[in-house]
Amino acid sequence: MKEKILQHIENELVFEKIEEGLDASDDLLGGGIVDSMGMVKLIAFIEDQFEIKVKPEEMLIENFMTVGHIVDFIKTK
Amino acid sequence: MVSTLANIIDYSAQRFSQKEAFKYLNTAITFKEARYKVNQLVHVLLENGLQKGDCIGIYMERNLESFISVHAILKAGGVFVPLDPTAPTERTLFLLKDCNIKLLLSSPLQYKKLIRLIDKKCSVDLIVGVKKKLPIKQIAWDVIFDTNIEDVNIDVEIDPSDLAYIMYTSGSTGNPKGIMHTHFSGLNYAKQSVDLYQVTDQDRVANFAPLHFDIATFGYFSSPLAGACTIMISDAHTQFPLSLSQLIEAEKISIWYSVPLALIQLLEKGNIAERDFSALRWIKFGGEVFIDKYLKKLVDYLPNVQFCNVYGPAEVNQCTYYHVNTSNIKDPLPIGSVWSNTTFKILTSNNIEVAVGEIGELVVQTITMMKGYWNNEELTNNSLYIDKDQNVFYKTGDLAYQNQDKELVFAGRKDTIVKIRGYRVDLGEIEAILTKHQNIEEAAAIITGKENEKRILAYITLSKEMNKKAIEQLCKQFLPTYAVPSEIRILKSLPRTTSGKISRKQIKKMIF
Repeated sequence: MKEKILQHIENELVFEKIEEGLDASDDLLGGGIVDSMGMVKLIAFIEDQFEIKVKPEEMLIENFMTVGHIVDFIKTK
Repeated sequence: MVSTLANIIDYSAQRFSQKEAFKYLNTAITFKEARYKVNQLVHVLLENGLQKGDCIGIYMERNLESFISVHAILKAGGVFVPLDPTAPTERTLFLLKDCNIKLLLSSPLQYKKLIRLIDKKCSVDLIVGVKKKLPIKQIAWDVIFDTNIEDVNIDVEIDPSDLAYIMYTSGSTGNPKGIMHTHFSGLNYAKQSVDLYQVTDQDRVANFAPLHFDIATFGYFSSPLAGACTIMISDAHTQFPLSLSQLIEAEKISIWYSVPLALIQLLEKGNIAERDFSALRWIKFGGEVFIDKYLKKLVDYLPNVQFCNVYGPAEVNQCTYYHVNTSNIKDPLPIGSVWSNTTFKILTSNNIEVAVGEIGELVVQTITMMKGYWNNEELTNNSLYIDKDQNVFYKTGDLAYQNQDKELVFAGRKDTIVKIRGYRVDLGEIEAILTKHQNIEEAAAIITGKENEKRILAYITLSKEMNKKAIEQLCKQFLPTYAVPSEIRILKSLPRTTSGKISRKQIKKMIF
């Protein structure tokens, strides 16, 4: 799951190639890795791939800060 | 006395020593601590050869260190240049070269991007703020904040006419243009905005804008000048409205300033009906037109807040204000009156003043105006209008008129007026018609194609399902035939510049 998300971000959502690759602990939001449009696309990807629904009240920083956070969040579903 | 931007921190450290000055997430520092950290960084900058007038880059996300960096560079006699960490490498390289930046202040989060910049052989030879090994000289933040400066005397003389910062915006030639502000223009902005909104040491000011967006100067300069606390909104909070509204409540924000988009997102997704925003007294917005239906909704939610429509290109900081009369919200919402020490004219294309009520280009003369464009005298001269009494005005490129109450009303960008089959079409008007519909969230109209094949395309986002036929119908109902978009495309979200404005340039790139 983690690899799939990392790959999707690196291949589809980043503006430019990330030196030394993306890690699950990289801050996606503070590090300027994805912008707000990228985040919308990322959430759509997660919903689609893992057949879950992200509820409006779950749209919180603590669920989407890093790929690690996203994986933990999906596991709660 | 405060005579330059460099005096602000010392002045407030004397008066408000133990008060919170800056806060980011769970870390807050007092004015006394801020002054000490600023002096530590000044010491390091001077030791590393900073000369008066040198341009120093600030390349970091929204954080606490950016405050220290801004004030330290100014105090050391340098000129700060905000660099957007989300910008493409090539653009950053252009800026670094354009300003001959040797010293870059950054943060650990930018490590991977810094490696990339260094790889491309940029002009920088010292990077501050990163601990992880870089292939050039570096100093980490904790080393700077461990420096003992008890007996260091900072003795750099700064004149109000000295350059303070250069902010880049996109230029029509394709190269970004650097707007130069002096200590004089910057400090006048800070003083006048403190007066206009009566900012006091009791205020808690939210800084939403990134440093490279000019409205950030309110949080970086005006707020500390008044002894208020500036709460830095994290990059993450800017993308999650639900988390953002929690923050506004928890931090008891009293003054908010952002582009309308941030407020629309709070309104749509921030669950503000459940939040306690009782500390909030001012909402200032600017940078774009606030779509009428959203402003009305927001006013309904927040009846005790004063709203201000702020207008001013980055070249003049701010030049007009309109305090919204919430019991009678005008549509279009005026940009209001010019503020202190400012005059204006509305001119035809032949530089003749128009009669009251007629549309023309707005030109302004103000003490908060830039010195000019960096390294570009020609562009500077072209941006100015000098009247017969030798008064110098900045040509805003914006169209405006005065309404019956003598308030200024924005009437579109000069360059959003396009000619199609001989007719004058204002793309802004098409957007306004579209967004009036309750199901349409946002709209951007662009023109594409060569002379005889010009077409208007409209890109929209929806808040509720709606079919294209109905949207076309809407356009046909309110627009002259030649102004009806030949195609409407529905997107999940519109591309934006990093300052939060809709990016028409990026939309044009999406055409296929």
